[in-house]
Amino acid sequence: MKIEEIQISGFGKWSSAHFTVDQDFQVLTGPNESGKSTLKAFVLGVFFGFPKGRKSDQQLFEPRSGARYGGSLTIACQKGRYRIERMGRTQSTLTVTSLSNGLDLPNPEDFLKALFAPLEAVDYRQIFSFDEGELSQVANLTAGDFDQVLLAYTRPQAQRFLNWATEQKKLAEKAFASGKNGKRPLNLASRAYQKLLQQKQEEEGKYQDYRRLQEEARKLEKQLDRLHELRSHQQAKQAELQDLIDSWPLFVESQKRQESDGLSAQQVLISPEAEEQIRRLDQEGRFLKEQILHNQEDLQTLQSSLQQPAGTGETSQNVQQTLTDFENVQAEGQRLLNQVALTSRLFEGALPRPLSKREKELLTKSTKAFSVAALASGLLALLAFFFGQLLFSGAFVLLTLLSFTGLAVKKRRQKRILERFYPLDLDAVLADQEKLQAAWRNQEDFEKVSSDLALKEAKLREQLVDFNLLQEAQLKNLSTAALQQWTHRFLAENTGQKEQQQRLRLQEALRLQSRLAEKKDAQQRALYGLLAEQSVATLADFYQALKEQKQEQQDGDRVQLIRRQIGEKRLANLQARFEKHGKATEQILQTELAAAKRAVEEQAGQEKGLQQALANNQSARLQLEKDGGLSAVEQALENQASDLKEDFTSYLAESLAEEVVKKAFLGKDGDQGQAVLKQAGAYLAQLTAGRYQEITLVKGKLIVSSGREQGDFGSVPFQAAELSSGSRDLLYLAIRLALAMTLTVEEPLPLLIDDAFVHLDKKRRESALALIQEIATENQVLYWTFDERLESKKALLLSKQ
Amino acid sequence: MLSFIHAGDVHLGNPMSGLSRNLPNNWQEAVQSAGYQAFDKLIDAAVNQRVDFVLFPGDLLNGAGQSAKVQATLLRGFLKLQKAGVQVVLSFGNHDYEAFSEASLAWPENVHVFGHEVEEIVLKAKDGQRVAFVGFSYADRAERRDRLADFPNKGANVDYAIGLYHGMQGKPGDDYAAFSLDAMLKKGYDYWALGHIHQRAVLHEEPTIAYSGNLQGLNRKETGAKGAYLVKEEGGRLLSTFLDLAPLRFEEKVLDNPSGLLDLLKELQGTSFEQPTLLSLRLQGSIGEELRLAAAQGDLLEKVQQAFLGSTDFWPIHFFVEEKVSVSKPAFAAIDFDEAIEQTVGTESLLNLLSDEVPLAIREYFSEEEGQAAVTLKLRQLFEQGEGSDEN
Repeated sequence: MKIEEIQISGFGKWSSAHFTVDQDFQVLTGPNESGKSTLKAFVLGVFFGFPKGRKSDQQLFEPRSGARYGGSLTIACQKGRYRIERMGRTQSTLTVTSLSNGLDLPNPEDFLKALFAPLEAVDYRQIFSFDEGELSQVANLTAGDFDQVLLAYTRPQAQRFLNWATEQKKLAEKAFASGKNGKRPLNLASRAYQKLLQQKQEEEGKYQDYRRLQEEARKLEKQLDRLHELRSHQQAKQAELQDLIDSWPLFVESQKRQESDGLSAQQVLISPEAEEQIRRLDQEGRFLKEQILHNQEDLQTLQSSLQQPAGTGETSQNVQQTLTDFENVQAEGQRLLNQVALTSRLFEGALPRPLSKREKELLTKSTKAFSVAALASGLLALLAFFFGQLLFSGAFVLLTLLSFTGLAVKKRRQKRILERFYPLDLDAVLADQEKLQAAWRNQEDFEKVSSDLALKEAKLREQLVDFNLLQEAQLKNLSTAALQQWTHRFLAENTGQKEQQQRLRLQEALRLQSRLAEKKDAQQRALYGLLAEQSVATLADFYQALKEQKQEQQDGDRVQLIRRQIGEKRLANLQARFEKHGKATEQILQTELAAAKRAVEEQAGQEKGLQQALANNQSARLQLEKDGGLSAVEQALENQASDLKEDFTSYLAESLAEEVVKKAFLGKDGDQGQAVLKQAGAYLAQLTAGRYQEITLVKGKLIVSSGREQGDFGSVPFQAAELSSGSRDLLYLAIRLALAMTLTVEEPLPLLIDDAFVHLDKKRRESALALIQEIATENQVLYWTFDERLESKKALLLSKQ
Repeated sequence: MLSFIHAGDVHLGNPMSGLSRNLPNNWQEAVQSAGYQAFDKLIDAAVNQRVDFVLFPGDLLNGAGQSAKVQATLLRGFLKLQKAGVQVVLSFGNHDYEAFSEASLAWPENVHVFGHEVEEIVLKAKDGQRVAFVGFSYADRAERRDRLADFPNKGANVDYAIGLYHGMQGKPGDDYAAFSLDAMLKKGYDYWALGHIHQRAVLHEEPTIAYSGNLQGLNRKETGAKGAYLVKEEGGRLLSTFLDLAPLRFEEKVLDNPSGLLDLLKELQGTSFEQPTLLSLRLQGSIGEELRLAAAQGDLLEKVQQAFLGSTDFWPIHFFVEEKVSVSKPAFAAIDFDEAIEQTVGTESLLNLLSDEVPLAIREYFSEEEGQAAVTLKLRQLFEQGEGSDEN
């Protein structure tokens, strides 16, 4: 590729400028500040883009005239001739026009990329564009840096990557310092990890504590179990003692009761059947009494209500009253008659008269007196006869006869009396005298009542006649019963229904009265018969005897109850203690109980202590189980490790970037490198007139060999850094030019040299210029200089523009 | 009806790896409790399903299990099973072989532990059926002997024979009790409960030879639902169903051709998750420059995390950005950067850069393939990015 024209719209000091480049070695000359560097910047700007102004010290080349920023280059390359136009600095537009057909290319950037391939902007700037100060700087480089720079130029792009790699390394160093105790993030993170490791160990130690706690807990539980068992035993003992003490009064009571037990055993018992019968009869009696009382009340009420006139006629009332009086007497008579009949049923005949006082004496006095008198007088008569006392004997015989006669008379009399009471015997006769007397009294009463009844009946008949209810003739024909019947009918017809009913009720009550009386008598008889069987006279005596009997039974039962309550075992225990200690037993029991209580309390205290220890143990274990100690630390450690791995990966990558760059560019002595060095050697020989002839790379170091004969020693190798500053410049130049010339690129690219040789001495400058001109036959060279000696008619004079 | 739960690789107390110390508190807590919760759920499932047995074929614990919380959790679980009449059959694997010595100290009587030699334990199911369990515990971190040879064939005096086996398919002499399916099938067992591989897998059906996978995912490679197998006899066959027990999941989401951060956030917002999820994101295809740059600078993850602070559904934990297909060889370079990176990254070069202060575990990581691969990847990303930046 060759640059044919440079057309500037506006760029720095240049505006509307036009240059035609028609030489392969085109000198552009002018004094300082004539715009040499600006022109070079313009060419680079059209090719690769104008400065964007990102860096503060960057020159922006805004046109001073105010003309439109930008311009174009006309180039010729293998594909043809093109105009490359770039207008505007910040949002520049690139246009590439093919001059053969006048068409704009659709992808101008791709065209430029292909034109310089495989170089990029940076490579072109580095290899084909020589800054004016570059060679002078080389002289000031340290040996190492010089080596580095030279090496970089043997492998283009390397410098750029090396710079970048150096930045990466700086980043890496900011992250981690190899020295101990660095305070950079990865050093701190590493130490944090170590700290976590320590914590982990501590947590593992805690696990041993946990196991120890578990072991301790097991022991404590065992101890507690044992204590608990012991305490249960002691408590049982205490309870037993307490029971014995509680049972003591009962025991004492049972002892006492047992002592008095023997006496009551002999007494006759009232049988439960008898008790039952007597109680029933007693109850029946009370019931009858109540009924009688109740009935009497009814009677009185009925009678009094009947006595009051109920609004009926006076006649009826009077008749009613008379009839009632009559019937009352009649009922009384009936009762008395019944009583008498009851007694007279005992005898076969009529009711006998009761015994008179004499008869009673006769019956009760013994007949022994007569028998004894007869016997005694008989004996005396015999004695007297034997003793010859005939007179006395006769007297006694007489007396004996008299006695027998008396006896016979008496017997006859008694017999006669008893005949009256047949079929009763003597005893029964005597016993029933009272009843008999009562019966006679009743009989007497009955007779009185009978006469009274006759009077009442007469009064009733009289009244009926008086009131003209009946004729006397009619009345005579009526028997007593018919009279009664007639009167009732009359009254029923003449009195109210209610009164009639009351009268009927009254009659009924009267009948009931007499029935109840009968029942009461029967009950009394049965009751007293039973009481006599039980050898008691009255009910009160019976109940007293019963009470005593129950009390005795209760005593016996109580002893049994106490025995059951205390229990056989306890009873035996108390018995044994009582036999041993007597009355002191209770006191001894109390002492033993107090001791047992103390023992239980002591054990409870111990148990409480153990329980507390166990609770503490459990809470300590729970704490260890809960906080998950080890797990948490292990997770933290794992997280920390994960972060460290990632961060150290970055650190290592950044640290190794430089080595990778070096390896990529310098690692192997590739053909490219060899070709550059060989070409550089040739250029160096030319530049130094054969003083140095060969450049080689030995173990990453550039070695320059002298071509001059040194006696028999042959060629002498120098390390690049060992050369004089002038020779260094040439070596640098040789390598730079060799690189440009050996690059395998599509197009031979123009070299842009900006007064690069200004500080070389004359001889060297001439050598360099000669070399450049030689090179220009292959690659176009644009050479900016203020060296007027190079001015020629071919030179473009910039000051003239 | 015989029923049991097969729970391999519980790894109780095992920390999750690949997470950051910058995990938000709620996620930190979830991470810390997930394993324990999963175990409790396992126990509850066994009780609720009224199974006869729970089988743990190795790696129930992490290391020696010397943690109060771990031991208390185990004991509580075992006692609960005992109360429910469930028996536990347990062998130790390569991760928890150290726990063997003190394991059974305080464990209740319903827990049956295999010794270091292959042994047979015959137990009665609730319905009275006789079940022979055969297994062994690891005595060391590796088991290179042919353990399967010692397993007896199924006996005539039992109704079922079940093998507990912690190992993996392979050739004799491999580290983890290598076995072959053929050899297993020849034993005539009714079920093989395998442990060691964390990925759930059925290697053979009728009889089943299966890994239940681990109970709870432990890192971003262990994705998806995790749990145990519930095995029940039905019609004379043992049928297994998967029980999803892990309360926390690791998942990977692939995003094709993400243009920018905003798009990416939108897509994430529209994604639903079955369980609280620790999410890895894989960006592939044509990746927007903004994303690529953020990824290279290492703050992409942080930016996404910032957007989802307080999220309880998921938490982004990792980005994987696919490399550009071609990293062209720079002009003039002797070799391309990939090659140079390959040549540069090695144990020596890495360890030289790491002083003693760097924890041993980290230095070990970089001396191993995984760490070196990470550095290689990072370098590639750096150079990819470095190439595009203009240093002038």
